[in-house]
Amino acid sequence: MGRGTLGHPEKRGPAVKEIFLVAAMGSLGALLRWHFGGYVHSTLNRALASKTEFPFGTLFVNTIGSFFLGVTTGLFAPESAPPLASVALGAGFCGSLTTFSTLAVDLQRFLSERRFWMFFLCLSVSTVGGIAAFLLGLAAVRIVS
Amino acid sequence: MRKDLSHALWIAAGGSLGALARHGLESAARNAPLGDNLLPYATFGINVSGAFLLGWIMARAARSPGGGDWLRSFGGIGFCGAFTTFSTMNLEMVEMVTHGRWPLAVAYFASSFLCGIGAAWVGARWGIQKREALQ
Repeated sequence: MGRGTLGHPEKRGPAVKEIFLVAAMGSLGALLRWHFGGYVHSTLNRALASKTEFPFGTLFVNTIGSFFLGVTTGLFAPESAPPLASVALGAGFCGSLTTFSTLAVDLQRFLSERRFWMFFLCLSVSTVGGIAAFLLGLAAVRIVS
Repeated sequence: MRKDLSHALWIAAGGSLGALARHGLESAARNAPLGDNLLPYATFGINVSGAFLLGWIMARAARSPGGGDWLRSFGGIGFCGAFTTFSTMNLEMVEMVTHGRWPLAVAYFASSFLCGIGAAWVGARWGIQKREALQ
């Protein structure tokens, strides 16, 4: 997951538990991204009867995943050696649930189709939504604890 | 139903491999002598190379006779989707800003998207050419 918590010097060497957890949470994140991303994508585009096919699914999983990473970061102090739970949730689940490659491919398609308005909308909503969701996750932990 | 199940299994397999590859590279970069504590070059490299690979996969899958289902679910949704990450990038940008490194955050954001989109384009071009050269 995040900066300063991963690959802490005290945590060198391949830990079997860590590898297993990252793989399991990574596949769970990918499955949920596929399932809910696809559902949100088709539902919203059908409801809006849009011909443009805005990537709502990617936007949804990226925003939710950024929120979860904010919560994870808030829960585990960055200076301590990262507990397995933080690696599993952050690097495994959130990292896999959110995606950059699909976003880049969609943005590239909007550019090559000369749909500059869509390009700008997708890029700005993703970025603002992602950062806001991350901060909201951090704040949520502070409020609760 | 059976098609859905095999689709899901391919995504799960690709997703676990992608997450492991990302976690391995991020950990290696953090432990490297030239650690990436100031510049998150591991996430940057992962996102750009994943965008290239996905561009290539989508171009190949669109032109493959069987519809490229396997390539799309295992390589695209599973591996590339899990390998690249958007949440870590946001975390890194927020950390840069909280440390007062605004210009770095802006540069990181701009270069990630510029290089990512460029890489996706190159990957797609390459995927198309490869396919047409084979026919």
